[in-house]
This record gives sequence, C-alpha cells and structure tokens, in this order.
Amino acid sequence: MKMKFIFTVLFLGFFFPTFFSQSLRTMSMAGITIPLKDVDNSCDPYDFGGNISYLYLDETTSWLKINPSLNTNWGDYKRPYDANNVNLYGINFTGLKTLSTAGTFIGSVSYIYDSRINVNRSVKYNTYQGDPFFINDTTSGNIHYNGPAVNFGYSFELLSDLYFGASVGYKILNGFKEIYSQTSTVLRDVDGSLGLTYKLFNSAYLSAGFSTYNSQEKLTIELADPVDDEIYNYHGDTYFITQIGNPISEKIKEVGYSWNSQFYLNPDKNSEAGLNFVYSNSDQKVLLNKSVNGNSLLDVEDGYSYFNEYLVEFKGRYDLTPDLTVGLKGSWLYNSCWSSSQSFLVWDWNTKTAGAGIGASYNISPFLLLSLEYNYSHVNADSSKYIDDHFTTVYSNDHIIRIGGEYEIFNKIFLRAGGGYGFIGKDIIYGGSNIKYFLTTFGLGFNLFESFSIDFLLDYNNYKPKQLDYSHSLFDGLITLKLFNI
Amino acid sequence: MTMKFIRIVSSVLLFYMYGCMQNPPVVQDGNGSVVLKAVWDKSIDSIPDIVPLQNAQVIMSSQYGMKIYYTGSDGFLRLNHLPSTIYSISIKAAHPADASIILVGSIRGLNIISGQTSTSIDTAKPVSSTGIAINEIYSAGPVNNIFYIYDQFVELYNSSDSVKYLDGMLVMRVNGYINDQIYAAGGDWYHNGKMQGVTYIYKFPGKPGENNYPFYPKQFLVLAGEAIDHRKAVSTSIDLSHADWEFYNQYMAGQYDNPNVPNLINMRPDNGTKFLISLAQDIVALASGKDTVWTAGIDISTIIDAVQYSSNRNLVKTIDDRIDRGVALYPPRYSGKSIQRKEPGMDTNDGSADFEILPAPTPGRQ
Repeated sequence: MKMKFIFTVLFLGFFFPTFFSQSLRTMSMAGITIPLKDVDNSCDPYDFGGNISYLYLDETTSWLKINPSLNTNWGDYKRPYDANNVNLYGINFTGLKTLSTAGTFIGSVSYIYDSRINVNRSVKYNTYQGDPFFINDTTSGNIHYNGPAVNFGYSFELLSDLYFGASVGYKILNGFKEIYSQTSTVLRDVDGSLGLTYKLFNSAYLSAGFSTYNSQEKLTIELADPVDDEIYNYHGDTYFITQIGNPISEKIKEVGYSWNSQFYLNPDKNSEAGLNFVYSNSDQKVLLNKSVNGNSLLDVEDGYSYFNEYLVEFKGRYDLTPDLTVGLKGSWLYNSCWSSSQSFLVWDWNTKTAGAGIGASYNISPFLLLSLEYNYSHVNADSSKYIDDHFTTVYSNDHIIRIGGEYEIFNKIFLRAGGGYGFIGKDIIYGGSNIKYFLTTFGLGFNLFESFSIDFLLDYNNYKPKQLDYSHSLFDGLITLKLFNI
Repeated sequence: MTMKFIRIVSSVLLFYMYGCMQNPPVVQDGNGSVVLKAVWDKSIDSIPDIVPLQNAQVIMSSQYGMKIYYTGSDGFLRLNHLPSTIYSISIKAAHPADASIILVGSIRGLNIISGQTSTSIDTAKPVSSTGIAINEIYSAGPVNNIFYIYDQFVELYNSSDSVKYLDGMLVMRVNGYINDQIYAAGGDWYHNGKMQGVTYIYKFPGKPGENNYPFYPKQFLVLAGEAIDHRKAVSTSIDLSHADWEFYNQYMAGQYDNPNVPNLINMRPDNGTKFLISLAQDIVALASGKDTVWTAGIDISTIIDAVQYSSNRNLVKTIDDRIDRGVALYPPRYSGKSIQRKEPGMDTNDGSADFEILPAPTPGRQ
C-alpha cells in the first residue's frame, strides 16, 4: 500500500469554482456543458461530482495554470441589501503534478480583491444565504474585502482498483466598510474532503466522498470617533433588535458536512455517462458578543439556521457519428431549511428543482464546431416567514437555449463565441416575474506552442423582468495561461 | 469486493442522512396574541366602579422596539401575530372630567409566547400633574468628532397648577458605587431609606421653605452645564446662552460663568470639575434639599424625581424602586439626541415607559 502524502497547492475556494472547474473553452461557447467534449467537462466523478479520489484517473499530464480574472455585476434589479455594483478581481495559480503510480497532486493559491460599491445597509459578507438574520447599519457604503486562499490535494491508487483522495483548503478575507458603521470583517474558511473510487469493472467506477467545512465571519463594528454605533440584528424582514455601543462585536459561525457518491460509465471513446448524488447539511449561528447579567462578554446566540440539501444529477453523452455528439442531462435538487431564535421557528422554506437538458454538437468542417443546448427546469418553492406572517408558494418554469461555436481561424488559433436566451417564469431569488435572460460570450484560444496555451473569455449576462424597467447585468473577463509538462 | 464496497457506501450514506438531520422547533414565532383590557378603577370606599378606558394609548415595548396602539370603545386591545418576547406595556388616557389628570398604568415583563394568548388587565391610576419633574435630559453630545460634550442640560417642568419654589433644591448626579451588584448607584445600600452614590450635588440658592425662586405652572426651566451658545464651538450643537439656570462650580478655577444666568452652586468642596453627566448612562436626581448630607446618602423621601438612563438595553436597573421603576432608553453618544417625557411632566415613576428619544433636543419646550 502506498501511503505517501505530499501536498501542493490547490484552489478549491468559493471564489471561482465555476470559472476553473470548467474550461474557458466551454464557457466561451455560451457555457454549453452537455454535448461538448472537453478535457475538463467529462462525466467522471472529478469533473462532474468534484470527488478528489478520481483526480488520479482524470489527469494524466502535469500542468500549471495562471488565471487572472475580473468579474463584475451591476444593475437596479436587485434585492434591498445588495450592492449596486460588485467588482471581483482575482489571480489564481493552479498546479498539477503527476508522479506515475505514486499519485497525482494538485494545488492552488489565489488572491482576491472583492470590491462592493454602495452596499445598502448590510454588513454581512453573504447577506442572502436564506437565513432571516440580516445585520445592518444605517448607511449605504462601499465594502472592500481581500485575502488569500490555498488548497492542497492528493489522489493515488490505494489498493488495486481502489483510489483514494484527500484535500484541505483554507482562506481568509479581511473586509472594511468605508463609512459608518466602519465595520471590519475577518472571514475565515477551512474545508477538507476525502474520497474513494472503486473500479467496478472495466470502464465503470463507483465513488464516494465526504467533505466538511467550517467558516467564521467576525464583525467588529468600531468607530474611530468616540461615537456609538447602532447595529440592527434582524429576525426576519420586519423585526430587529438594536445594539448600541462602540465597539460592537458579532460572529457568524457555520459548519457543514456533505456526503457524495458518483457512478461513472465510460465503455468507449464514443460514450460516457455519470451519476452524482450529494447530501449535505450545515448549520449557522449568529452570535452577539455582549455582557449578560453583569458578567464578562459572552457570545450569545441570536439566531440559528439549518440547511439540508439533496442533489441527484445525471449527464450522458454519445457520439452518434464521428462528427455528431448528443448529450442529455437531468437533475433533481431539494433544499429544506429552517431558522430559529430562542427555540421559536422564525422562517421555514424549501425548494424543489427538477431540471432536464439536451444538446448536440456537430463538426461542420474540420475547422468549425457548432453546439446547441436546451435546458428546462421546474422550480417549486415554499416559504413560511412565520415571524413576518408572510407565506408564499412559488412555481416557475424556466427555459434556456444556448448556441455556441468554435472556429479555427488559423492553425491552432481558435475563435469562440456563443449566445443564450432564456425565460424565467418566477425568479425566486430576486423576486421578479417573467424574466428575460440574455447571454453572449466571446473567446480566443491560442494553442500554438507545445509548452503552453492561452485562452481568453469575455461574457455578458443580463436579466430583465418583463414588466419592470430594471435589469441586472454580469460581466466576466478571464485569461488562462496553461503551461504543460512542468 | 464490489458488493461490499457498494454496501458500505450505501450504509454510511443512509446512516448519515437520517442520523444527522435536525428537526425544527415545534412552536412558530410571530404567532403570539394578547388581549389587553385597560380599565380605570374609580371605586370609592367599598363601592366598586371599574370603567373601561376607551381610546387609551397603549405603548408596547420589547427588544424589537416600541409600537403604539389604541384601545377600542370597550377598553379592549386585541393583537395577533406578535413575535415571542417579553413586553412592557404602558397605557395612558385622558381623565374624562379633569384635563389636568392623566390616567396611567403599566405592565412589566409580560411574556407573550407564540401559539398562546396572553390576557391582561391593566388598571390605570390617576396621575395628577401636580409636581416638578425632570422633563428632558440631553448629555449625548452633538454630532462631532472632537469629543465636544459640554452642551448638556437638564430640563425641569412644573406640571401643577400652582407656583412651586426652587429654593434650596438639589440637583444630583448619582453614579458612585462600591460593587455594581450590591452597592450600585442609586441604591439603598444600608436599608436605611437613603439613596447612595451621589457624585455631584448642586443646589439652588436659598433654603427649602423659602419663596424667592418661583417655578410657575406649566413652565419649563433649563439647567445648563454651561450657559453659552455652543454652536460657536460645534455647529451641530445648541444655544444655551438663554438657559434659566447654570451649574457653576465655585471650587473650580477659571470656570466660565454667564453673568446673565443665575447659578446652582456646588455642594462638594472636594469636587473641582465641571458639572457633567455621562453621555450614555447615568442617574440624575432632583431633591427638595431637606436632606443635604450626601455623604450619608440622601433621604429617599426628599427626592422629587430621578431618572436613570442608558443606551444599553441590557443595563440592569440600579436605582431604588421607590425612586423610579425603570431605565429610560438613551440615544448613542454624540448623536445630538435627547430623551424627553412623552407628556410634559408626566411621571409614572417608570422611566422606561415615560421617556422617549428625541431626534434633537428641545430646551425650554416640549
């Protein structure tokens, strides 16, 4: 048995999971994932289910990726405590080293600068996590966060046909609100995962994994001037308690666990299919640091939230002809969450989302690839805001169609573009109805050299409710420089 | 091996899914109800006469703030969908025959629980506005960043219909303590009927019983820490150059004295500092002056009015119950806000119910 653990750096933080878990190539083609073949878009347990144990089988060559990125979003179609504008700048280095039978190592280090412009009152990093415990002051101001994230991962063959993987990650962010209440934030996340993959028979794999995370957001509301701060701890949309002082200290602690399992079938080069199941739960506590009965300062629980999630998803792909690939995807997601304060149920909500998608890719010529994908989802959400005496049940039928293409304009220089159009019946996040969704993407790929490649991506997304003169837009700009055989 | 692996994975998954799930609390918040009946007990001798108070103002205070309601024609107030917490309720209604009398009542510590209906009868008692009361306190300081705190004032109001006299009366700051649990400011430490913890003690001229300094009915009197126009120092401050009285420490070298404003003088020779009260929490007391031996404590029976205030909602009240039964919620430091009685001079001996926060001080007026 080989039990040698060597750690390198792996990025598994929360910042760019969508950017670097799939390639810029597919993102440049309208983000099509079902029928498009790509080295980072297979149906295997690592690409599809995030199971670290399959890394050893998924990656066969060593590389280093350098990813500078810009992500920005803005618009007046937003929730009350959202920022007017969020700018996210990041730089990420991800390295992967294969050591033959000794295993595969992956690691990442990144640094992020997260600038939020005109955040309305909220001083939490994640204002809307589904819980009713908003923490607000009285001003609309800019909040800037910055800090590093690192991760280490390793996968190897533990026994014959049995593969093991593990990863750990850490990130820390410091934030500060420029004006009253001058809230300082220290956000710390630690995560880890373990995985096993067993080769059932030729071309069929079964995986299982466990992951956990522990995060803490510490808020210190302290003014430089000798003026007291006023902070409002909401219990729901209506009721809040006021804290006055200088300084005021609060913490948001969250612990989560997740079990996942994957089944992967890859009988030949022309077909593959993957099944992913995830069950996760987490709990979150809002703790107020205050004096109780004249005693020294204690962390007193103000709110508690519990989150449950089940996900089952399937993706399959088949080459009908050497030039035509078709794909199919289905998913079912169930969220069940509740929040309480002092043993009373404050909010209770759940969502069920059933999704299905089909797509096809066709090589029109050796130089031109076209791809089309359609996704449908049905969302059913129940929300019971007991403390606010507000109860809603929402149904939504959502449709999105995407089309993308890749054209080799010169030898090993690729031009990529895509577009999407969607209709969202009821937006359960932002509250709008009959949302029109528009997406356009553009990318370039330079694979001129044996030792490295460069990919660029620009994408623009826009959401607009039909009856309102509001909209919300997102823009992403990313570059990936990939060095091979390092 | 294959089936074993599948069995292990399945067993662990099932165990985890069902073993770690938490059930939500059974009782839903926001479903509390209260039925409140406001009555006035006007019984005379053994003849009972309980009268419902219609259209009485009901102020409900809790950790979620304050809300005002009114009773119906039958004296009842029925409220539903209340969040579970502990409420303080005060009621107020005009006397049907005498406008100078206010009917007031209060309920403290009413625990309203979701899914349950709390029933309470609040019996109001007449408070004849017959005396002098501390009507407004401003010590938070103006909005500024240079630590300016000198524009403090205490406002008195004579809500009676007769002329009162200030001769020999005392105004005190009470924040001395030995132990904040047992020997706390404003308490009767030695169970001898005396309020302890006096730190500042200032006196109107004259002696109790003399009639040289009249306080007319429905008159406001502003007692300024410094009777100057503080706006010249900080633009967001206030003008106290026309205050009625000024605290003057004759034992302090070089203190400015407005010659146009009469002085209250310091009774403690050992205190060589300006009269200042705390920006966020303190006790201010007014006494008749019949007992001036502050070192032994001030006789509670001589205290006309006292207010304990704090910007900390969790502050434990320390002032003796015979003086006042509540702590008035105070605004943040340097907020430019003050506290004032909801009705001029209306004193139910419950500072938490009597006072409200004003966005800006109103010296000399309601």
